[in-house]
Amino acid sequence: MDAVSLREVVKNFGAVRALDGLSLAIPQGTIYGILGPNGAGKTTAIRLIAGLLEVDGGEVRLLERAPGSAEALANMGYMPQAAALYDELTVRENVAFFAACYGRNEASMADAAVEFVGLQERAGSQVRTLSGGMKQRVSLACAIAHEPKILLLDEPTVGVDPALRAQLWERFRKMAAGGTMILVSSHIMDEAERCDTLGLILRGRLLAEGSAGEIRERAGTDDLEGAFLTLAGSENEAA
Amino acid sequence: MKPRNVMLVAKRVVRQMRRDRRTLALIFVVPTMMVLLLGLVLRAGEGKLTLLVAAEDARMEAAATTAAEALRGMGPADMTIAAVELSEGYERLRAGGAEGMLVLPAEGDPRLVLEGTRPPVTDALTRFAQQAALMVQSARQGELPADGPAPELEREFVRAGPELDIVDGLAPAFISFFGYFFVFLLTSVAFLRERQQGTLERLMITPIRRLEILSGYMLGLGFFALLQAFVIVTVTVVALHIHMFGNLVWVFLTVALLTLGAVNLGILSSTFARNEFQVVQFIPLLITPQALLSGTFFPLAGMPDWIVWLSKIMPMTYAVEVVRAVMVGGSGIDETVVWRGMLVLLGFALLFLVAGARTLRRGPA
Repeated sequence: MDAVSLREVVKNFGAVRALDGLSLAIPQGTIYGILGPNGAGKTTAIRLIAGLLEVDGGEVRLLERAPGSAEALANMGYMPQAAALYDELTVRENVAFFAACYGRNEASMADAAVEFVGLQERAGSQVRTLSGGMKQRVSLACAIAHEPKILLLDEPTVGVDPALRAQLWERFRKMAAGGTMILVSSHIMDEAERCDTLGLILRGRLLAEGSAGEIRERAGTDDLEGAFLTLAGSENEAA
Repeated sequence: MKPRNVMLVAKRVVRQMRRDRRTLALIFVVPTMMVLLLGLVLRAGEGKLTLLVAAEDARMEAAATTAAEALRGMGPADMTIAAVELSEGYERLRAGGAEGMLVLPAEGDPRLVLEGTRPPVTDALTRFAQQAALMVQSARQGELPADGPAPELEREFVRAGPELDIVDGLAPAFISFFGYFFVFLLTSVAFLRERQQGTLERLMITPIRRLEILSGYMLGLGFFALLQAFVIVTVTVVALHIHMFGNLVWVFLTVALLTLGAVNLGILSSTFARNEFQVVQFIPLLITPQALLSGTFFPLAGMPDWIVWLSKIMPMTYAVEVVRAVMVGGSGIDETVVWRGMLVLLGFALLFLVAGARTLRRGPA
C-alpha cells in the first residue's frame, strides 16, 4: 500500500494551472523529495495531500483514504513553510498542544519531539524570543510529536544551520526506517541528495523521477543542479 | 523636499487604495449610511407618548372624559390622550402601553402616575401634566388658568422612581454596548491572528473538529468576556451610583449571554477578513448600527417600522431591553421580557457559533 498517491491531479487557481496532471506514488518508509523552481507546484501538491486544498481533477489518496478524512488526518504530520506557532506559549507548550490535538497527551512525546529538533535547553522559552531558525525547528517538532505515518515537510530546513541540518536528516532517516513516509519540498540540492526518490516538477507536471544518481545519469551531468537545469531546458525547448 | 518624490509616494498610495475595493466602498458607503441613520434616529425623538386620564371614583368618570377631550387640544401632536378606568390605567402602565396617567380625585389636586423607567419621558410628562392640572383646577373653580408657576404635582411611580436621572436611564445601554463592542473587537482580532500566523490551518488538519475549535474559542475568550462583564456591571452600578431596582444577577447573566454572542460574532466575521484592516471594517457594519437602532441610546418608540423590524434581528436590542427592565423596572426572571430576552440572546450566540463553524474553511490563508 502506498503511503501517498496522486493520480492525474489537476489544480487551478483562477486562470493559472498550478498542477497539470501530476501523478506520484510514494511507498511507506520512503523519503521523497519534490524539487522544482518557484511556482512549479510543490507547495500546491503538499497542500492538496494535507487536505488544505481540493483537487479540480484527478485523485489524492493517503493510506488509501481521502485527504481530510479522519484516518488521513490522524496519521499525518504537516510542517508548513511559515512557522505557524503560538508566540506567547513556550516551545514545550506549543509542541504538547499540537500533540494533544491528536489525542497524544503523554509529556514524554512532547519532550522527545523537542529533543528531536535539539531545543531541549529552550523548551521553557516563549516562542517569540526564538530566532527564525529555531522557530522552524519548533514547527517541525509540532509536526512530528504525534509520530505520524506520513510527514509532509514544506522546505523544512530553511534558516537551519548546516550542522543541525545534517543532524535532522539523520533523524529523518531513522523515522523512515521505522516506516514513516516523508515528503520534502526543497530548493537545497544537498538535501535532495539525501532523499530516496526525487521528483522534478515543472509547470505542475512531473518532469523526471528517480534516485539522485538516476537523475544525474539521465541528464548526463555530474551534479543534481546541472541535471535539473538540463532536464528543465530540454522541456522548455519541447514546449 | 522634492515634489517628484512626494508624487511618487502619493501615486503609489492612490494605486494601492484603488485596488482595495472593500476599503473604498467602506469610506464612501459607511459614512453615508451613518449620517442618514443618525438623522433618522435623532428626528424620531422619544416617540409617541400616551397619557391616560382616569377618575379616582366612579362619580368623576364623566369629568375624566371631558378632561381628556380638553387636554387633547393642548397636548403635543404626537401625544395620545385617552380616558380610562383607574384599574385598566394601572394595567396599561405596567404593561408598557402608556407612559403616564392623570388621576382626578373627587376633591383636591389631581395626581400623576408614571411608568417611570425613562427619565426624559418622565420629565416631559410631568411638565405637561402640571399644565394640565392647572387647567383642570381652574376649570373647576370657574376661573381662567392663572399665569405663574404650575403647582407641584403629586407623583406616583409604577416602576422605578423620581430619583432616576439621565445616567440611570443610560446605564443599561453602557453596560450592554461596551461589553459587546470590546469583546467583539478582542475576539475578531484574536481569531484573525490565529488565521494569519497559520496556526488555524495547522489546527484544522488535526483530528479536532471545527465546532470543537470554535467552541473552545468561545469558552476561552468567553472567560475574559465574563470577567469584563462583571467589571463593567460592577463599576457602572457602584461607581456611578446607579439605582438598581432589580436583581444584579439577571443583569450579569444577560450581559454574559450577550458577550458570548459577541465572541461568536467576532469569530464569524473574522472568517471573512484577511487582515486587521478588514476586521476593523466590520465595526461600522455590525456594531455601530446596533448602537443606533436597537434602542440602546435612542428609544425605538418613534422610529419608522422598518427600523423597528431591523432592531428585532439585533442581539443588543434584547440585551438592553432585559437589562433596562431589571435595573430600572425591577423585573425578575419570572417576567416574560427577561426570560424571553435571555433565550433570544442564547439563540443568537448558538446561531453565530454554528455559522462560524460552517464558514470556517480549510482553504488558503
